[in-house]
Amino acid sequence: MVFFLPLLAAVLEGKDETDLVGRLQRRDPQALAELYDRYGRIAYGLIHRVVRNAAAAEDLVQETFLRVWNRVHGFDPAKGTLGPWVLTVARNRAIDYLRSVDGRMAQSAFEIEKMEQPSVFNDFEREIMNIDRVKLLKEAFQKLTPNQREVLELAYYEGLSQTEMAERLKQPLGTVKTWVRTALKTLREQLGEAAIA
Amino acid sequence: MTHEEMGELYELYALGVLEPEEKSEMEEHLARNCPVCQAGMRRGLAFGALLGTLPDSEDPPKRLRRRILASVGVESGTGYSWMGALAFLSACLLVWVGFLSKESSRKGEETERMRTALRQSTSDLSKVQAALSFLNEPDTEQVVFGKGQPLPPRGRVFVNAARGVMLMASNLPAAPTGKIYEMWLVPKIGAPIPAGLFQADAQGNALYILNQAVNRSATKAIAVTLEPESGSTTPTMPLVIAAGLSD
Repeated sequence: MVFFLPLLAAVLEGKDETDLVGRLQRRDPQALAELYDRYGRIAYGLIHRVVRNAAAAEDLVQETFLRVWNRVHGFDPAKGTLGPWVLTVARNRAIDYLRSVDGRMAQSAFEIEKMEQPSVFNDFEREIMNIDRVKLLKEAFQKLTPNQREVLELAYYEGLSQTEMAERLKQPLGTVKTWVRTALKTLREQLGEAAIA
Repeated sequence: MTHEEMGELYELYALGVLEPEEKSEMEEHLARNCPVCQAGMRRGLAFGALLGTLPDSEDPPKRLRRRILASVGVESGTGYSWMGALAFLSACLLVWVGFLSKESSRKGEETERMRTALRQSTSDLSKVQAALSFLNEPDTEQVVFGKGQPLPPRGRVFVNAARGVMLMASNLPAAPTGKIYEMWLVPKIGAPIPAGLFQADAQGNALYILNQAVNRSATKAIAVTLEPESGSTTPTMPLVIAAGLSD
């Protein structure tokens, strides 16, 4: 997993994106190409991990970048950075797809969409996803117990609520909630000063 | 629910996986523009984005980039500007010039190879003509060597007192680096006389002619040894070929 960190670092700690956002907002197709070159591999890796289907992953990556392209006018380049937004949209597109395949549409797509409005990412600090945080998170994630890792993966990669996790794992809801709470607490502690404010 | 009790719910809310009752309560808090909740939400969203970096990056198929750009009106294969087209044309031109240069070089090499082959054929033809002429001499006698022996080499030696000695051999092992075959006239009395150097071809065949008169009656054998490339004045044992002549 460590081998791709330099690449990730290059992506996440790259140049100021103000110009890129400006060109996206002016509908410059070259800017979309740049955005894709910058985040395409990470977005594809994430979506493929969630849906585990290459053809579906291609469709969802396309949907992700078009969604960003069509909504970028609501993004404030002076206040935000594109990475967290692109990854959030990518993950949400993938979860939305999984839920539609599983017939879990009741877990409203609308709710998910609220969490990917560009304005939500406007107040993020520019270095929110710097490489030190990414490294720390990876290390901290490996230190979790298998149960703690599993519940976080079920939430993030499958979009399961704690009740759904309890059913899937055949465990009492209270136990699952404890695993989730402990996992998140541990990650926050491990991230220490680099924790997200 | 207090802020402390809401703890990890911000992250779960940001991931869209809260239970309906918890979600309602969270949204009530957020609607009040409570700074603690606003900060919690930012933390939850950032955490969700960070989790997105956990899977390894993967190379998507190259067509996906074209697909995405085509969907915003960039024609596939036309690039984004004349600069792109110019760069593409320049690249094509470079490839074409490179191809021509390589082709020219290849043709030059081929011509040289043909010249070498022609020189070799001419040389071989001369040898064959000389060999035929040698064989046509009525006084030429021949000796077979190696016949019936399990190991190479095998062949014939033709001796003509006026013309010299012709050796035709096959199954000669390749001479080691720095070595060459040397033919010897072995007299009935005295030391062997050097009779010329030769190499076998890649198939182990050799045709060598010593164009000088030999004292046939004083010679009892024709021998071949492996010697240093400059040749020797006395043979180095063992003998590679030994063809005894009749008295």
